[in-house]
Amino acid sequence: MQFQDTLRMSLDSTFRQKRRIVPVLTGISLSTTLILIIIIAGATISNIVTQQILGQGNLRQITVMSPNNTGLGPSSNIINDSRIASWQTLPHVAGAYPNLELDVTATTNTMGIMLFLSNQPDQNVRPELLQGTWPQDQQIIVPDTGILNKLDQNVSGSTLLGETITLRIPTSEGSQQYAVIPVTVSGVYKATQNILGQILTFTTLSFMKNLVKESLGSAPLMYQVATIMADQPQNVSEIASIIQKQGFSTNDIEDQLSGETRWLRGIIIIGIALALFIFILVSLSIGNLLASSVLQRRKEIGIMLAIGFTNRSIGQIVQGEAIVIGIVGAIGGILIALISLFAFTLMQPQISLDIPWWGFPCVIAISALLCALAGILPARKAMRLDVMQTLREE
Amino acid sequence: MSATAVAMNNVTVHYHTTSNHEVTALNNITLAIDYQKWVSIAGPSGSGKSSLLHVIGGLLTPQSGEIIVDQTPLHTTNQQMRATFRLTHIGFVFQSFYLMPHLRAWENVALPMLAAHIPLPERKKRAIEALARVGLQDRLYHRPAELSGGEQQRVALARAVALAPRIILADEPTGNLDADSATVVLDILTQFVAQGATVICATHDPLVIARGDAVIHLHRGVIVPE
Ligand SMILES: Nc1ncnc2c1ncn2[C@@H]1O[C@H](COP(=O)(O)OP(=O)(O)O)[C@@H](O)[C@H]1O
Ligand SMILES: [Mg+2]
Repeated sequence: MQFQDTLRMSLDSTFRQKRRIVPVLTGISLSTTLILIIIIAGATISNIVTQQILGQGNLRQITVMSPNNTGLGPSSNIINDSRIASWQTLPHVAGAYPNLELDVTATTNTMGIMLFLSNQPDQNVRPELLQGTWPQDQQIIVPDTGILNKLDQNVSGSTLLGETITLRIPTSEGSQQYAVIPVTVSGVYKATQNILGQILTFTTLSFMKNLVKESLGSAPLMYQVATIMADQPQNVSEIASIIQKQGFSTNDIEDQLSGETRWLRGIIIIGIALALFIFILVSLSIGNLLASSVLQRRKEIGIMLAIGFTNRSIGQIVQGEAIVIGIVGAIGGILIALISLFAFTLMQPQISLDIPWWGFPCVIAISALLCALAGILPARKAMRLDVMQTLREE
Repeated sequence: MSATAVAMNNVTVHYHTTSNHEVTALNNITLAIDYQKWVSIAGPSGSGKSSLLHVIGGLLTPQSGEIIVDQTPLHTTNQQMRATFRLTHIGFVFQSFYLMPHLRAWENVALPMLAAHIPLPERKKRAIEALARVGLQDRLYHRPAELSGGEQQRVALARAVALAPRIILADEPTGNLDADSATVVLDILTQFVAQGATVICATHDPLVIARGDAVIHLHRGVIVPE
């Protein structure tokens, strides 16, 4: 028989037994729906978590540590200025900095903290900083009123050079409206006033380095941790692997994400396993249904054998029925899932669902496969029917 | 190449009943049937007529003996080969029609062509032609339940000749029909013989026997003189 004829026969004999097929199809459809909704809920939740994590960090940021975390490992993996300079020249690197925390906490005698910020991300500290030629429009005076916010979290405690933070600046004094500006910290200018109103202290990267240097004497400066910024998020892993080959350990947003979403994935996997289990139960019932329908159609099969169908093609038709049931059931399940998701978005418009479209062909394939497996025994049963025995039965 | 449509040599068929009895349905049958003839197999019920047709049609394998049908030595074939043999060499007509109740007339006729890998448009075309041969060109889309007994048997006849087999095996084709319908069916079978088919027809109806070129009388599984 030609393939399309086998398929046609399978479709025909499947849908001829409406009353028996409906519960089975419903079962497959509902378990397909269940799997899809679990996948979609999982993807959506993990997306929300991801968004939250992304709000706290930088997609392009790689934290580099010396293996023993003292900065005093073998000379090959010491983080020092020349090492950092070499990282700055790596492809796709937008900047590399030692992690020296900049204290931006306002104190009583602080008249203000001037953060040198750049919305050209990942600017390294520029020499102009020290000479006071930083362009006016990139200087943002943050009064010590706690307006400096990183998303909703108050980070007036400390920030890192090279870190991206989000500023909320009142559009006018006392206004409740804020402009939200993502910027990268590229230096800090901390001014304190003496009695005469003169500015006394400057805190810049080189200033801090000098402080550290002073405390270490003439020893070359070594750091425990450094931060590298990639030019694009997708280049992070490539840079990280280069750094790792140099003998450093790295940590980037991917590492954090996998940690945070691990429990979620666990729950999703348990859910999918449960749905698959239901699926298997349902497909077993398909085996049962097909076996009994083969019994019921013995006479018909006998006629087909008598007029020249081979036992093999009869088996193929029954096997085809199983696959048809699997595919139709899964398509039904997808429709139910889409309708329920649509209804959900109508009720909860603020939640944007993350629909992994690969899930749809996947569930169809899984369903077809499981049902095909369930169809093997009934198909064999049909193949083994003897033409004379089946015809004799009246 | 043998000149006979059917050649049987010492063919014996036993059935094993569930109560472990052995029934001899055909006992050492030797016969030859020529091409383009209508041969009737006559005999009382239980004499082995159906068994003989089933052996000729490759539905039943004899326990012993040799049988060559339309150049095919059936005693040496396997299940798959016998199915193909039935498809290409034999057209079956049964007493109770054996149509697929859910299929329309033309689809029933097209069914063997489906097994023969003939594509759909060609199938439909040939099925309509075959139905025209039995005078049912205006019943193409009827289902068996919507047809009279005689019409159903004519659909079965059209199905039997759909793939132009050289041998048509009819098992009491008029057994379930009234006299008028039976005459129509017999006319069609006569026409098939005139067009080159060999018809072997099991029957105990004298009307049917009268149509044939020859009669083989069976009694308890052996050929007997009249
Ligand atoms: N499947 C079977 N199992 C056991 N006995 C059978 C079977 N089929 C036919 N017989 C027996 O074989 C004999 C011949 O049957 P059959 O060929 O159907 O005769 P007819 O068609 O002439 O009525 C009968 O005695 C019948 O009871
Ligand atoms: Mg009989």
